[in-house]
Amino acid sequence: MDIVAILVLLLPLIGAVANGLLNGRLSVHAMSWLSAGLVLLSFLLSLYFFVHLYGGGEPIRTPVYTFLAVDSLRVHFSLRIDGLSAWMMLLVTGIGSLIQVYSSGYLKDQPSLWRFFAYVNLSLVSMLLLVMSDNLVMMFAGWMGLSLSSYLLVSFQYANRVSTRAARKLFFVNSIGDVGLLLGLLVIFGAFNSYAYSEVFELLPRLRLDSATGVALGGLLLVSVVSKSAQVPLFTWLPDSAIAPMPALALMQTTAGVMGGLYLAMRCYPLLTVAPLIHESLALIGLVTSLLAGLIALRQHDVNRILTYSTVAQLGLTFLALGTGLPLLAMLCATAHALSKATLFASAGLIVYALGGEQDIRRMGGLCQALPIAYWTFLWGALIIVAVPVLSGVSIWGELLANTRASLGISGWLLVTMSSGLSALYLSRLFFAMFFNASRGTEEHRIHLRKYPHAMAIPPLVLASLSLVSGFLCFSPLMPAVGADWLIPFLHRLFGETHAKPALPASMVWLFVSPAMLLVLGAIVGAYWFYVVHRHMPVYTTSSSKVERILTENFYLDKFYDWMVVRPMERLSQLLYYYVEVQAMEGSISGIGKAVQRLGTIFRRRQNTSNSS
Amino acid sequence: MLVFLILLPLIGSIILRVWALPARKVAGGIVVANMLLTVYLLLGLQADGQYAYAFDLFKIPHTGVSFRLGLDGVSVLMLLLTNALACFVVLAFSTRHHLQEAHYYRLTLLMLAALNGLFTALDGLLFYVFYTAAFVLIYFIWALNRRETSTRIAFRFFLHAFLSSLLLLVALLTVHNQLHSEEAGTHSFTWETLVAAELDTRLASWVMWSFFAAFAASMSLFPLHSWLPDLFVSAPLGGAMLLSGIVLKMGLYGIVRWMIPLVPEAWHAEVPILLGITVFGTLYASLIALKQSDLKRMLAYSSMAYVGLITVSALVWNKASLQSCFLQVLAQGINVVGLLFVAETLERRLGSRDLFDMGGLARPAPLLATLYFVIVLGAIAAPLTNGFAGEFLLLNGVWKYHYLLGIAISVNFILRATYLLRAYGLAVFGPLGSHSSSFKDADRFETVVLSSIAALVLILGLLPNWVLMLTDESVNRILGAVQL
Repeated sequence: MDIVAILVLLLPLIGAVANGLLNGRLSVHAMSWLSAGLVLLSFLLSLYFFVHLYGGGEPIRTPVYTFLAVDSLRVHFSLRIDGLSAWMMLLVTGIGSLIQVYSSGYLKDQPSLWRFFAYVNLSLVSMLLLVMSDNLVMMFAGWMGLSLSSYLLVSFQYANRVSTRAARKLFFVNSIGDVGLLLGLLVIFGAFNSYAYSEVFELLPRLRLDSATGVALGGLLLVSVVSKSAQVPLFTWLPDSAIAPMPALALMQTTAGVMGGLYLAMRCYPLLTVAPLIHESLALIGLVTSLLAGLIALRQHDVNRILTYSTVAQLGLTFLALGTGLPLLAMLCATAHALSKATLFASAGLIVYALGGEQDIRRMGGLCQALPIAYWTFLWGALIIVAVPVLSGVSIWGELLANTRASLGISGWLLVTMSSGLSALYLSRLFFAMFFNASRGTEEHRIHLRKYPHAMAIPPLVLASLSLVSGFLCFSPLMPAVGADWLIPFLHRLFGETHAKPALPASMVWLFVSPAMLLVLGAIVGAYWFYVVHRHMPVYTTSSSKVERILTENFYLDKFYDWMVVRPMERLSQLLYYYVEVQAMEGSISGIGKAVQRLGTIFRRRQNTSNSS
Repeated sequence: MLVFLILLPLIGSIILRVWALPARKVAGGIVVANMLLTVYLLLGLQADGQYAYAFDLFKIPHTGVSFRLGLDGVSVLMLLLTNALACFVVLAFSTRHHLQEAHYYRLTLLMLAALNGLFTALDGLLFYVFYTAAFVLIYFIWALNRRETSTRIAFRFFLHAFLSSLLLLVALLTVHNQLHSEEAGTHSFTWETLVAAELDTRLASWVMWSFFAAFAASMSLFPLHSWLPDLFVSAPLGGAMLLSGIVLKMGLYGIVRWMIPLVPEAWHAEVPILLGITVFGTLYASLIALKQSDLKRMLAYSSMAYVGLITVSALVWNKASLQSCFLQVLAQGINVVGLLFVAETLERRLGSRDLFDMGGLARPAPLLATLYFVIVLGAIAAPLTNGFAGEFLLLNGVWKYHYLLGIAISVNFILRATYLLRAYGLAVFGPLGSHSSSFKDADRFETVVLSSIAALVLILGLLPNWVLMLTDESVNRILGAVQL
């Protein structure tokens, strides 16, 4: 058992190292089979652990070795597989191996593809370390490994300065979160005198943390989660990273990247809820993020960017679920997001590939006949994404209504309803713009599409059928009769008592859900009417309104950071160098030199006078 | 046994002076012998924190100076780094021809002797002699690079070296004099007797500041750092490696071994100010490194920031921070040598150190780019590389002292990651620079050197506890020697 657990982690690492060492000596096929095969093996092992735990087996703890030990500060490299880890491992390795199969087709013309496979494997290893670690320090190792491998993935096309700039921004924002988490760990150690999950969570109910510690701890965790999972106000790095190749985006947004933040929030959920202030801000941040990202997505023209903003919005809703005390629902949202967003990326990738790399929806259209697989899988993924916030939103706000003041609940519920309407709107826009009406692309796009390799068709199909599972999962809290009873109790066990049954009767739930459903339907029909029937497809325009500019500029957040953080820091660096380092130091040293010389002259003169006298 | 570590290189340099032997072979033989000796000493060292291989050769009558050496877990770590680096500098550069090869090797051997003496000396004045010798020798190694010698740099350096040496001597003599006036007839500069000296508060404070200024000058802490960047960029590669790998950390060893145990109360009273200065200097250096366009100058400021960071861990003085101190010395020694080697390689190929002349090197030199990245990972203390465990312990130790200090230090982490990755991005990513079109990937020699450094980055990163176990008891003993 021990060795098997280590193998889950080791296999993708072997893939990364092998790709690195055999650089370019393997064909694209061999490379992709090597990496995808190893990850798939890792998936099968994860499945084995999942089955073990599903059957009521004990969580597995595998100590490997002592990483460092100074008196009471002991950090062991050890792995722990419980329900939450096993579930994440399945997602990570499952989607990860599909993405690798996919990228062997999508990127087959890229030079030095081995680097890409190595980076993907490194991301997967980091994420697996993150979810399998038994203590916070090794979790942090995976956490920072994610930042670094995302940096590498985004800078894969390094000759393009835009990519490398996006990668640097990604790493800078993530490093704020990394440091936040590191400091959070120190607070945790200060309070619990241990970094091991088991000891921290065992001690937590008995230990009465004072409110300052609770806020500091929760706040630091919140900062790290917000930066890693691209939430307001630290979300702008994720849309910038949309310059990366599509498989890299799919990886970063569904398995090994932003999901790291989500996992941390779920794993450390009891710590986040110590201070009510932090718990509530988590909900607020999630809500605001989902609205803002949804609004921005409406005005984007790049497939990658639209899907990326959609990720930001989806994660916002997930954090909303966490912030309102529903970790199970957050888990379901996260699963649904991972599977359906991977489906969307995979099917959109088919289109982009067929159009020879064209990502602008203003040059697409009329592709439903030509690319049926893309059409159906995209439709299915989008439906899941649109349906999930509606259905989860109802339970969340039902809970919230039962728990908090009615006024906050109502406005919050309205906003969630709006946000689900928004996601329906921008996804419909994307969908109709890609598949309906006549093609708006160049002559070549219209006549012959590039044929994609067969390997590329498998991942969207598999992912779409898997997201069916997540669809069932999300329906079941609402309508227990629908199904998925086989999994919900298992996921329930993960969070123990933290998940309360919905306090509202079914009729009330439907009362809250129906406006959102109507809004979503309205949005879809409206979009169809506007974009397809009236042919108001997105086209190139030169004029842009003020509102549009605010949206395309991410609400001027980038400008704000640029003016408040980046520029002052760089200016300070230059000023210090010129005025202190060059001028003042030079001045003082030459001053000392002159003083010594003058002293010498005085002595010499005195010497001379005393000699002559 | 211990004395051979000093005698061998000393004799070697004399031989090279007298006879015209092939310098590289002689020097190579001696550094290898020294390295083997160090390993032998390491293997025989008991992990009980006591001084092993104590060596007491003679005592100069009436002055109290004795030639006394000893070895504990902390010194052996420093010796390991010193001798390994000396091996590296002498052997690895066998293909690089220096204009004054014999001089270069002679000076390196002398430097090795001085450093080995410094880290094993148990007598105050002996320590002083080795310290001054090592500090001054770095100047002579630098001066071999005649191309860029300038009186301005030389003057700056000597100002600091002179100040450092003088203040250290004054401090040691003052402590000794106190002792002398109390117990007439005992002339001794040994560590044990100096530690026993009781100074009154005012005097102790002066002594402490004098020690600190002396060590700060050799560690190039703000504001006594102006000698470092120029010397660093124009020194021959081996000299720069010795400088940033070891010489900058002599002062650190001095603080831990001599300053704090000798004047603990004064240190304790002034520690907030000391920490303030050090942390400020660290942030200052990191900020300046942020916009440097000269790769080596950026590394110089980065070294300065790094040494400041390690000084913080020494000054905070608890178990975790002291343990981190020596782990970081080792890790940073490895990383800075790797980064310097990369910088030198790029400079030699491109004829420029300017980051804006580089760019796009990942295409012609993927291997170099990859190995460079691994070393950068170590330098930014990515988890499971050699920088991480030390900095993690440092943060733990510092946090115990005061959380604000922890926050200030973590800002430094962000800055460091930013400037190192900026330099990496400018050099390796982007469109192919005008100079780099005919750039060649690492040759066999460079591959071996860089991949062994990268391997060290990863091995030490995965198994930091080996080092921690080595120094554990010695650190306990050093901590125990300071009673407040």
